[in-house]
Amino acid sequence: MSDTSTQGGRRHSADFETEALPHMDAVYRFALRLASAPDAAEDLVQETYFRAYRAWDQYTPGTRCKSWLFTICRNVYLRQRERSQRHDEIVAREAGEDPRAASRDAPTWVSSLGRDPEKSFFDSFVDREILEAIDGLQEEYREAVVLSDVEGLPYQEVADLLGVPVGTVKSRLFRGRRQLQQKLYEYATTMGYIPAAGGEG
Amino acid sequence: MIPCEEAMEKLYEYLDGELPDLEADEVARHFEICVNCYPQLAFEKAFLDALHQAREGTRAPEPLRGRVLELLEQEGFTPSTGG
Repeated sequence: MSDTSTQGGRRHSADFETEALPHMDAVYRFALRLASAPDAAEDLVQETYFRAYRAWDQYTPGTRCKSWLFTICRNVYLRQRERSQRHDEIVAREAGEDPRAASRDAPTWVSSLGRDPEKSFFDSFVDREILEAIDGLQEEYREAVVLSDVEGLPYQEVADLLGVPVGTVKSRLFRGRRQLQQKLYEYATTMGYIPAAGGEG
Repeated sequence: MIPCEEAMEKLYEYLDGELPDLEADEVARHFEICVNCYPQLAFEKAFLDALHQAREGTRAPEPLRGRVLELLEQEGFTPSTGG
């Protein structure tokens, strides 16, 4: 029996309470984007905190706790998915892709949005529509976009979490963002938020 | 001033706060002056803001918090009384 006296346990609990528990909203959001269904996301959160508490000794206090919890959450999710044989084919193909190969310019349809595209376009969406569009991304892009753009993690933390180089994170972010912009544009034209491009005469 | 191509290439890293100060200043200066590039900066910034804001409404449900705490307490976790 090692350091599990009442006092040690109390400190353990206090640290966990101040460092790990405040991230539950973020872990839940991440789990939702991974698993899509709320029930499955709740199970993921429970399992994540259960494992995190058990492994709390391995966590260095004061270091990137949110990323650490996300890593556990993602590992639990991947293992569950493996077990349920739902191979979504995690593609590693972009590992060697150069993000500069694609055009850095904004999508061509942006020019069809009028004089003040950024405001009128993005203001037309409610959060749910944006989150649903994120859910429609391929998994490797979805993860990068959620971790970086929704949760605000720096590239290096996203790279560590996903186990890929920073260059791959940049590439996934670039492609994920472009795909997402395209999805939002298509959705906006379908819903009549904006007129379809190319119809001007 | 850095050329448009370079500014566009660094646009996301600039908006993500990933550029070193000196490079970030160069990119910022370009976008301040260049009428061709500025709309793209504004578009991408609005896009990223919209993504970041989309998280605001999503909170872990209260019953889930309760279940997590219960699970942890079974493992020896003792929450502070909250006082």
